[in-house]
Amino acid sequence: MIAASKTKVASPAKGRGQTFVPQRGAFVVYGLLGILSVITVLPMLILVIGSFLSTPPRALRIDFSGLTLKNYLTIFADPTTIAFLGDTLTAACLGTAGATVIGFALAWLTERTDVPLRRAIDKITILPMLIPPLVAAFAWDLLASPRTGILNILAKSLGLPAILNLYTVGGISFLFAIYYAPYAFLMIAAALRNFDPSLEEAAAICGASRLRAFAIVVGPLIAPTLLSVVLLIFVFLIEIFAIPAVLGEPGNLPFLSVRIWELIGFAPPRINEASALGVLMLVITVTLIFCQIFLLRRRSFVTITGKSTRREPIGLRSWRWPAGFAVLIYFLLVVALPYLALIIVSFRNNIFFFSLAGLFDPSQFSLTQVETTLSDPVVALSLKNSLIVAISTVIIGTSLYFSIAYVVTKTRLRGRRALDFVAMLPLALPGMVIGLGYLWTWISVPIGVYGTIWVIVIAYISQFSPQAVRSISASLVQIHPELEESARVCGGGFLYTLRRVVAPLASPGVRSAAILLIIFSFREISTAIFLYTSDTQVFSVTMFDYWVQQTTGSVAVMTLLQSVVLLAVILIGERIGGGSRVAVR
Amino acid sequence: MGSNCRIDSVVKSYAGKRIVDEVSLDVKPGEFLVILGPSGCGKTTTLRMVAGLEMPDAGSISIGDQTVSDPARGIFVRPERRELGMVFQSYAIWPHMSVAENVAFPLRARRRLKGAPLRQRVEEVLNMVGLDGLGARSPTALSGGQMQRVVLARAIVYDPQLLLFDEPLSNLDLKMREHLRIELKALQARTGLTSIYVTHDQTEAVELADRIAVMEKGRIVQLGPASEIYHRPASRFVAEFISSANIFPARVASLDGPASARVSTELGRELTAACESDVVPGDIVDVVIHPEECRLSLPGEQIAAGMPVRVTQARFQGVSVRYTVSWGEEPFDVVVLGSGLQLRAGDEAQLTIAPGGARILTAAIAP
Repeated sequence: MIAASKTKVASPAKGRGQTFVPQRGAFVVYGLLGILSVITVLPMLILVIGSFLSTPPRALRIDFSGLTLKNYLTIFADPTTIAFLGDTLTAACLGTAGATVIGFALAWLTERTDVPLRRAIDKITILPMLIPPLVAAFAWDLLASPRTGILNILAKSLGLPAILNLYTVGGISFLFAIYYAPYAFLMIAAALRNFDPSLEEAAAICGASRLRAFAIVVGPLIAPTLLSVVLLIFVFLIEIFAIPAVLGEPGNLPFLSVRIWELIGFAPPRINEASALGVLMLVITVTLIFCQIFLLRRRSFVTITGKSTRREPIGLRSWRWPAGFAVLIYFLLVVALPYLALIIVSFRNNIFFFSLAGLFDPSQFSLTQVETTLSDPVVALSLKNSLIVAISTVIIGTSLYFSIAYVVTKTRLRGRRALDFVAMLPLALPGMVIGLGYLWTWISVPIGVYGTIWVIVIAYISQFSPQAVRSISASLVQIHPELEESARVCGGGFLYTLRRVVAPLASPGVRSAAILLIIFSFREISTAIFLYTSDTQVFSVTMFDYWVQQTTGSVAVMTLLQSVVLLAVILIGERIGGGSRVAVR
Repeated sequence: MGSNCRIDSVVKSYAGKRIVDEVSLDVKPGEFLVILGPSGCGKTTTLRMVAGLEMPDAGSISIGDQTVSDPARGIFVRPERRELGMVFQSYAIWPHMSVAENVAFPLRARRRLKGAPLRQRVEEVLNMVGLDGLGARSPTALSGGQMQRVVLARAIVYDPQLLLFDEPLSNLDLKMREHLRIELKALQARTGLTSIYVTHDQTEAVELADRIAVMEKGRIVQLGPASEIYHRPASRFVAEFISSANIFPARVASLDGPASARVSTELGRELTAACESDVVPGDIVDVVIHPEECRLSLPGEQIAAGMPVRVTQARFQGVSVRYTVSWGEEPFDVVVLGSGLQLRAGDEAQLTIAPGGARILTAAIAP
């Protein structure tokens, strides 16, 4: 759901597909464009300018006389820059390769073979996406840190050498691969599903074996999808902050994102240099995303039909159970083990133990950590803040996203393509860079936003617009324009029609966008890390902060608490919409 | 009784191309007017401009005594204020509402009725279209024919000034289409609603229409009662579109009388054809002959003016047999009712054309 919506960048606006809206709706387009410009474009501009200034941001003062290349020269003169850029790129490359291979294997197994439980695998593959990278990093730190990691201790007590070490480029790449594989899975599975099976059948009739037919026919046609998957995941992994921040620090591996944070977080703050690094990151991601869009545009020539003819799955025969076992191992690594570790640590008296017996010692069971954490005022405050941020993002964001999606998909108003473009722009903007841009902007424009919770809400609304607008657009596109037109001819005004016809029919998309926004709001850290104060710190920031302070037990309890909250949100969301799922012509 | 509708020199362009090019129509109160044409001829766009779903670039449209569209005077009445009923090609039934809620929508949206009178009116209209007792159903559970009736009920529930139909039967199977055609005509006659009906199906047009407007490339090329358009097509396009007539070019040899000429083709066809416009000997004209206005007989029979032909193909079509014969080295279609005459490919036969069955096409467009 998340990644699939990320890939569709071109909007399918065709001649008569749109509903009649009077031309005076034009001011709505300008209004929406104005809002998006302020929340998305302006911060980026100010950030870029800031990276060429010698002074940090000050209220209402941009001192252009200090225009300089010094920030860039400084970062490139620093010999460590090349080192951490190298680490960042290496880990991103390895992680992308791993994620694509795992994702492709999972997609091929569930879409084309008789692997056991293929339906169930198809459903639960998105589970890892619900585990925020920050949580994954904490859990794996508990599992596989060199000295105290649970897996290493287990290995030692079994007489094996403790070999796991995640504090390395390889270790970080491993986490990248297993947690970003679901994104690859979703996109590749969708491509395989939409692929016209008659092409493969034709190759089979010409005498090619099933595997050979797949390789010859599907391979070349699916290559653009694969390449765009690779680019997208690479962008995610360039900008990701949570995993390298948690696992890179002990091994002294400051990735690009971590380095930006360090430049601002450690005294004295070097905002101008951080901005130069931010712009560097921005240049990389924007370039890659534009390559990806270009690839997807080209892909429309490939023959993919909507027909989903049933296809006989390829028999794996003696490989069937080993393949199923491999899938099981994957889910064990990605979901089961991490949660097991988090639960063990949450409910123990002493989180350190040195043998297998120590791990299962019942006298060690305790609710102390849970009680301490739940009664901690900082935890309570940040949970409250996160809930406020999530709900505000949903309410304000959804109205804005719905308006944008409606204008883009349902009208012929001028400027709608520009609107679509600006709404999709944050796809290419790393969270860190948005955070930095907001830092500059709202310090420079002192209207009482910086330092409040609203600066975080506005940043999130900008950051999440691509996914949410896509999700709502997808359900609006499915509403046949004549459903709306007939309501108009039947005497319903524009707003009446919107309320009685469009809104109820679009509700599945709106609901899934709302759930997505809540999940994103909780998992996001890289944006908030530049925008919080002690009064407005959100849950993810508090978790990270506690981890830095080494209160590991509380962090484990908090991750479980967050999982419970998110699970409740998803279940309630599904329940609310459960009854009204209707076929829309 | 419905209102009249006047469409006056309406123009609509997309991307610099004129989709609707100076279309004028005057629909009388209670009339059933069909706009017939191939896809892309601008017929649906014309209808949508009447509905207010498209804005014309020029020209004016009035319904009853109200001008609803006139860009030159800055007039544009939104669709919801036009008091219309419209039947869409896709049905456009709202899947999240019950059948009764769908039908009640126009009354609710206009705040015409509520409570018991509203329920009563909905019930009454559902009875009228033969859906009694199905009000509480979800429309997604209905058959295609039933959906079409829901749409009809929704269109007529508040006595609109004008009923618009956009290829409403094109999604149905043949049997259901025939059935609904008859019902539709009866319903329209009963309610007396002025109707404009857009279709590309000539059978539908001929059966439903009081008058047919044939459109080609954004223009109306002929307007008149169905029988007139069928028998006296104004152009080759109309003749080809409305029927599967034989049309071939010929040279006028001589004039037989005020409305009749002797024509011949290069390959040796010679016949007498009716003509309305002035032709002079030597003109090259198109001759149209409907296949059902011809007869085939066996070679031995004594037939006046029988022309020798050879059967090249015989296609059994149920109530009739359609023969293609070679007449003057060129194919010519003849439809013979029943299957009494049993000719096969290769057989010799005699062809006769009913008096008045051949007609010279006039180039001029009928008013």
